[in-house]
Amino acid sequence: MRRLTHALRRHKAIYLLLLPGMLYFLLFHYLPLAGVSIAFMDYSPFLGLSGSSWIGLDNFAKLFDDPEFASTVRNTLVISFLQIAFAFPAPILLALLLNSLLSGRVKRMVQTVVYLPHFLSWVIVIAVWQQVLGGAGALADLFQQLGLGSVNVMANAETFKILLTAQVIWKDVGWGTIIFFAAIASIPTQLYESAAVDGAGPLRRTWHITLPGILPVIVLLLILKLGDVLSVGFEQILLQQPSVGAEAAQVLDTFVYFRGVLGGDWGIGAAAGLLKGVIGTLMIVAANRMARRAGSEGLF
Amino acid sequence: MSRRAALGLGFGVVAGTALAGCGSGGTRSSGTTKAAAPPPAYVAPPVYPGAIVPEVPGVPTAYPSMPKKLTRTVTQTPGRGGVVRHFHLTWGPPATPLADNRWWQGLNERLGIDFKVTEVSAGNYEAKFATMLAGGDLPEVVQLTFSAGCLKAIKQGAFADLSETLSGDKVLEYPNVANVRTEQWQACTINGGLWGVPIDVPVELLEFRYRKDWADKLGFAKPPADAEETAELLVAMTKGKPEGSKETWGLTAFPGMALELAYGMFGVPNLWTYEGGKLTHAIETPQFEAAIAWLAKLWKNGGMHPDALALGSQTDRYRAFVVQGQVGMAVDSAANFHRPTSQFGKVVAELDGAFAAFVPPGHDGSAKAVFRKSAGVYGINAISAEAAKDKDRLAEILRLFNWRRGPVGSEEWYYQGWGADGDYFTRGADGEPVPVEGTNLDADKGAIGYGLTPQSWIFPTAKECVETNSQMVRQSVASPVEGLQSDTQDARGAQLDQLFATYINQIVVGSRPLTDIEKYRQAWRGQGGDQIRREFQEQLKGR
Amino acid sequence: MTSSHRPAWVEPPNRVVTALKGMVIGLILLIMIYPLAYVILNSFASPEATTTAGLIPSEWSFSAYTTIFKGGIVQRSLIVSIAITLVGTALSLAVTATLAYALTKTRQIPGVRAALYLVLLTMLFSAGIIPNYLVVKAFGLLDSYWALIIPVLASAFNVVVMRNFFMQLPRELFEAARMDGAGELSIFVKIVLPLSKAVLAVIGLFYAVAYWNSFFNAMLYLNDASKWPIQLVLNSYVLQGASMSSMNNTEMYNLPSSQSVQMAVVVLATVPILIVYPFLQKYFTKGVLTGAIKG
Repeated sequence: MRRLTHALRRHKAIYLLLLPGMLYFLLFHYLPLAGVSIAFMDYSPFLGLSGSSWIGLDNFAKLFDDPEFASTVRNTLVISFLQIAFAFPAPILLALLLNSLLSGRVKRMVQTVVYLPHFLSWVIVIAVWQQVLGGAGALADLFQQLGLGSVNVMANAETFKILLTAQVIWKDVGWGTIIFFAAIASIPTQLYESAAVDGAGPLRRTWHITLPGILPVIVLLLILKLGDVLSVGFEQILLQQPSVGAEAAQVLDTFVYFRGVLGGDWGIGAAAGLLKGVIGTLMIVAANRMARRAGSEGLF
Repeated sequence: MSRRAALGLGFGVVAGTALAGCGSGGTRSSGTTKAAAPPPAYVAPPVYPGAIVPEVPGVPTAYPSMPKKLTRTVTQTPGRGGVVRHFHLTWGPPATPLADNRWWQGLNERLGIDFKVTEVSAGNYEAKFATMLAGGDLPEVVQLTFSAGCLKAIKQGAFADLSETLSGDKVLEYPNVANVRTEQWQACTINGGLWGVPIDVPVELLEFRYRKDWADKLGFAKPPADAEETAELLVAMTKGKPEGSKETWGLTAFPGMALELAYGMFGVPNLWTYEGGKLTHAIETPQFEAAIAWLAKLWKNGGMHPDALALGSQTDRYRAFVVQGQVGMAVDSAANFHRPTSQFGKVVAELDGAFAAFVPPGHDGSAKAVFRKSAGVYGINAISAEAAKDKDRLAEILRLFNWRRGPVGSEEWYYQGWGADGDYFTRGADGEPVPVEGTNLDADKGAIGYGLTPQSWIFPTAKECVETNSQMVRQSVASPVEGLQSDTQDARGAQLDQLFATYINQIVVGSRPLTDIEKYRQAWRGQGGDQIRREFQEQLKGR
Repeated sequence: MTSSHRPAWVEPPNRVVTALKGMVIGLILLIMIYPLAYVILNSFASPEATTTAGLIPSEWSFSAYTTIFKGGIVQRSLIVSIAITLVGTALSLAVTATLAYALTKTRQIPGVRAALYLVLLTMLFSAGIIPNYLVVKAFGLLDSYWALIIPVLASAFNVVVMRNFFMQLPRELFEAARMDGAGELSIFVKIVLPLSKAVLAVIGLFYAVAYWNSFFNAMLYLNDASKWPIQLVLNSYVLQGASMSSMNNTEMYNLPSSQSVQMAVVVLATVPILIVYPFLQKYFTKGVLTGAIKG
């Protein structure tokens, strides 16, 4: 107790800085978290938390007993890992490429353009993609003219997961570079200068200075991404499901949507949310441990 | 038949539609539990000179021109001056705010209330509705759909049961409310309670149209006489270049229009058939299989837009094709084709008869097509149980309903459709409303005007519309589970709809063999179909 | 604009490499600019002329914009969105920066590590819309503009990213300041913040975009449509796919808006936030650190 008051007095400034943010998280994240109890209830919004009945682990049982659950989780993980493998490094590569441009003017112009798609909603993005890659789109026309038969990239169940990843890269690669630019900007210029003086070419400078400079951010984002493996673009997938069917396109969030939200059953959603949280926590703890073992700062 | 069908048949467009039609059953129950009060008495709405009165019940009364003289049906201001809140479903931008909205201001004046509206896009409805329920913030009047969330809230007592208040002759206290047909009241009756006043739709809302000019050009002088010929026409419309270099397609969206057409031609039952004490679902019938086989073949031969599956859930893009004249066949709500001011109405007028209404043929040319009839209810205007505790408040709300339900040809009805004379429309000498330059009533009204007014068909082509619609209704059947209740249906409906997309969509486009219909049926039975059947069958036996 | 002047230590560009880079970048630009070009061009199409397959409409018209502005809803909602974004971003940055700096002290100060865990956990567990709504209601925020700011004041992700950047700052600077007798507060204000312009700009952009783009909370927390921000209005113009269509109405007086009107609303809802970027860009395209040390 005395140690606490001592610490409080000694580090008054830091605790003061801590206060507003922590207050926010407690009030608007931890207070509502009591609502997680919905996961163990046959929850009815009208009857409320006090009026709804407790049903133990039934909501979880509903998830696990569902014949589609296994394929849903598999789809989710496959899509997630495709995104980690391809969509995650894409902005890093683009940022390095842009950074190697000499002209500041070109660099800025390109940056401004590549981040545009981020601002269009999925409804529009998908409509535009359809006009280019759909069955009546530009690509299909080209195939027809070349006598290659019909093609509809947008409605191919086998390649659907790749299509999703491509869409994500296209929409967010530019947006994703921003944070890496900030990291690159905080690398002292002197480092490059002395490396150049020592005879290191552009590639070696990128490899030995830029990359290590942004490594902490990369590691951080990767760990956070791993904590999120069970969430993949709900809206993006929901909108395209009719074209390829649920077998290829059912992910945890859409699964919950059809069974929980549209089925009037909020407990299923809460149970799935809790499950995601637990698995995400495990992933993050494991990833963080690995990162630290590899000599990085890690996340915490 | 019910809301589900109402939803289902709803539109050419609708993914959920066809799905709803297919996977989901009609689900309300009329009083199976308590000794039910008699349903509200029915009084046919008044008919004014010039009316086209259909012989078939459920087809709206229509007028080729505005009735010359409007009748006032409500003499006293219904409201008591306070705030009355409504929860409204919308499909477009919100209404112009009250301060700049003469129509809304005038409505407040006439109703004698401060009318407040919470508008929510259909896509956000479930979330918004659930949070309002959870917060105890229900407005006095809530537009309910027949979604699982709504049905659950109804059963748990969130809304006022009007079965006593409006039973038998008691409804006559609100004479315009008594214009609601008995089968519509039944559709609003769930678990023995009557949960509100229906959102009125025609029992058969759809009208099929096809490009007669293209058909002529392609050598089809008459409307197709059977399924075979229909397919040939659709393929020709896609491949025969009827518009020269402009790309055209026979059908543009699946399920939507395409499923509607195939179901009709092959006589796929309306959700279920009941024979010998046993229910068979539409998807279990040979007719269904034949319809899907026809669609798959049509797809293979190129009669559909290659993005049909995606377009099935993109209402606005589907509509754009119609507006741009790239579609050979279309289906939509009849009024949308006939109302000259609507997007489709303009297309119809421009094509001058070439975008002709037709009733699809039976599959083999001898039997007629069979369509699916609904009860004519899209949703329910329900009153929150909290508000109804106060009897005076309840009476006030019902008086407001009475005013809003002013029948076709009444002053109340005219105000809701065209506003005060001179504000948006001026009535000419012949009674026809002429738009006032620079005003846009639709924008001001938004969704606020929707939900209580009765169906009205006022357009020059009223006669044709009634004729086509009557023929379709004559050829339609109601679902045998109409008015019955299945909890499993409520909870699993959306999930079963999704199964339809997984299997049938893919069969139609040839990614799965036709034989996978059997797999679909098994999955459907296993994921709730059989359970739903049991629940319905028990109630049917109890009848 | 900075010049393209090449520092002495950078070797002259290699022609082949430059050409290659130019091609790659040109291609990327083309792919990226297409959708926005499509949206903008089609917003100027006459309602009947919109083609579903083309970039260039066959007939031009301003009618989509006049239709929208006549209603008044869009103008009003733009003002709401701009105000929410400005106020929200300022408050969020303040809370995030202070918290992130405090959270760098996990080693030195008791309780800070626990606080960091608490923040991290909010990324993994969320309560769901109903419990959040109940809390917002309990604080009396319903139907208030604050409901669009306070419940989303800080994001754990942004806090963690900012903390990560703060941790990368050279320690020597702090040590020197401490030797000079500076307290934590003045180190934070006088050293940490000026050195962190890049990350402040980035996180500020993240918040601004998040405030600008959010519509779901507005949908839940604001009943009065005259208070809606632009994205919620946009959401009501542009039909949102499958879930929507299953509830489609059948007897609609207003058919959904024509494609050109939808595109025009998209333009109005997107362009204002796009303008922000170039202003922030200078903070993270230039090495700020060297400048700061010199100054």
